[in-house]
Amino acid sequence: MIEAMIFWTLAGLTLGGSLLVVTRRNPVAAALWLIVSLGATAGLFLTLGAHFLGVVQVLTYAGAIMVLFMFVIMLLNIRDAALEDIWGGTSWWFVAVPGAVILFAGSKMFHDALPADGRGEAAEGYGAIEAIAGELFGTYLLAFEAVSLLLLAGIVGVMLLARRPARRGGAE
Amino acid sequence: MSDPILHIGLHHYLVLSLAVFLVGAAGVLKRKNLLVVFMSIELMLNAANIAFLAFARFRSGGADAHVVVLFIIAVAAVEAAVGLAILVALYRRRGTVRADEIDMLSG
Repeated sequence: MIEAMIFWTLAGLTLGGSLLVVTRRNPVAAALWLIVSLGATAGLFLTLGAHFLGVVQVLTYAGAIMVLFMFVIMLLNIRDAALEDIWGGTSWWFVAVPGAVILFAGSKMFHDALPADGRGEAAEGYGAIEAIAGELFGTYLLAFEAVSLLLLAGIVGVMLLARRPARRGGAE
Repeated sequence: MSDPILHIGLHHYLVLSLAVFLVGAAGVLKRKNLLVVFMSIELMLNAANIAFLAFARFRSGGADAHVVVLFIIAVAAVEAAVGLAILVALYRRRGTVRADEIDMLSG
């Protein structure tokens, strides 16, 4: 009972937050609702027993990526005149109707295809950092090193891309 | 079939994941402000994470799904950083972050 209440609250926050993200004119408001949605998702991770990933989600996604978004939004300093007209232009129905169709068809398929057994007892140490570290530095070691290389490439790329143009008038 | 409201099963999480993914996709398609488009992309990645962890919990998965989700979060961070850097560079040259105002390939 409590578990269901928690799930519905978190799911409502996640989905409602995501809907509000895509319908806010002001990008700052959209970013704040995305933080709400990501935080609620972290709660969902906790209900799924993945407590390490729940913490990582809050630290990294809601804590670092969204702060980066906020920095860039503030840096770009969007004026009111530049805010787009969301409800004009091509109608939302063109994305909402196919989306609703896919959602209903998908839920029907999930309902039919998946057996209705509940979650079993989680294994000892499920979602704990020891289990994840065992896999990460064992089976997925190459991918781990590749991700570190990706991070390095990202850092170099960001520093090059966001550099101010050279004052000597050269194009880059 | 046990009560779908009180008995939370795998398909609850999957339907939620699908719904969030569709909302993110709608945002990418409809919105012109590139910042909001980036945020919608993050929403889609988030939805995929929920689906991964739901399957891992309900299907006696090991820590593999957790490692994959960790990688997804890391890749999303890099992608957000690089994408925002491109956006900043674009803003410096074109003075706008709206996709409908960036319509000439040159200049």
